[in-house]
Amino acid sequence: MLDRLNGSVALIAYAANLLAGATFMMSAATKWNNPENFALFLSRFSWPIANGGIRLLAYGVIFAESLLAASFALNLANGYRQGAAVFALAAFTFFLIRNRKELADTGCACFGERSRLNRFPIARNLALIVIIMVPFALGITLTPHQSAIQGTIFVVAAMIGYGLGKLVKQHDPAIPPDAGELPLLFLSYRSSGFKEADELLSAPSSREVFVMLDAPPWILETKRNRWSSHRLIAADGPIPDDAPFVMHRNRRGRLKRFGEWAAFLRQYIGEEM
Amino acid sequence: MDFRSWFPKSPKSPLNAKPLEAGRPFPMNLRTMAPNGQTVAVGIVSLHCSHCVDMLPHLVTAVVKRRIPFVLVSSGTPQENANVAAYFGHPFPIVSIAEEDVQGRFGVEQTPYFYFVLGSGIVADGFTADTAEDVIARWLRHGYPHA
Repeated sequence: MLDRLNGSVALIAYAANLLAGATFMMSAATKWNNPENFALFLSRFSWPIANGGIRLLAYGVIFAESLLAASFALNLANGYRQGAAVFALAAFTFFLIRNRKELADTGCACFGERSRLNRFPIARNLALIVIIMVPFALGITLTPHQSAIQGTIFVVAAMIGYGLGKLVKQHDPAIPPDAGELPLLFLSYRSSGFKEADELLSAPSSREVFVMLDAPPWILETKRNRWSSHRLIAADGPIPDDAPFVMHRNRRGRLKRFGEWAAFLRQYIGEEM
Repeated sequence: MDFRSWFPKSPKSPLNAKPLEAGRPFPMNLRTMAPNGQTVAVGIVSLHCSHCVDMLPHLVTAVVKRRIPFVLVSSGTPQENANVAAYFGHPFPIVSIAEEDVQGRFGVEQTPYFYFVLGSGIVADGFTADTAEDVIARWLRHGYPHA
């Protein structure tokens, strides 16, 4: 009888832990995919730290999220992980509220660029704090056996999720062979960032960008003259959601997608150096 | 520490631009562009506005076909506007203005915006339009000359 009661109470802890673990894991996983993009995202805001510290901060956040995900999934550091998670979520919420104006147009991108989880980020964080604290407040602790079950569920679910993610993964756009090692900017004249891109690309630059522009031919012609420091060709077709992005190889030669195209261009062209 | 300074208030949006009303003088001399003193249709566009970009080719076709005196006022650079004019075969004069003049001088909040300006330089009508056909329909409703 007592066991059965324990079992159903444990379900609450299972649910809370798995939800918290999954949330932190998804958040970390999208950032691990391209940490430099996350660092560029953070560089858009003002920080009381030097510029070099922003990359460190980016990796710190990703690392902290990964640790939190593991601690919830595997039921480690009970009592401490809840405090750490609440602290992290409070810090994220503080960041979101403080920078709400800059984030109003682009969203928080906490879970990659096009995730439904990016909507209502403040309410989401507060709800997560409550969910994390419920089993803790009720004083529920899992037995080692229950922890093992929970950890197994998490790992299996994560593997399935990873596999499904690979299956439905958006295919990266075709890269024209003559782009070579240049970063590629995919841009649409319909994008709300078109004006900003125009300003960035119009400035003379010694570092070339390969631009794939989706626009009527006459816009293409005017921009070919105006963006004379860069190479411009017509995109094969419309750019998904008209959201600009940059494709660029990282140091290990892997092609990475940067949703933070404006911050990328600023840094690459050297406006902020 | 002032807690409020942690959460800066978002700056207020700029004052709403008020379009030029009918009867007011149009802030640009069109006489050199329409020397016969006809009424002129003026289109104010930005090359960063996709709606304007989509509409422009249709506008070119429509005003050329109807032989409506037309002047395009664009916030593109003179070089860009020269490219645009060359691409379309110089169908009408294109005037470059600074981006801030769209609001400040012409009272336009959202491009594309259109004015019909009488030969005397007085504004007869000001309106937004979704399609080139809407502009033509409005011109015809005024009873202005066309082919």
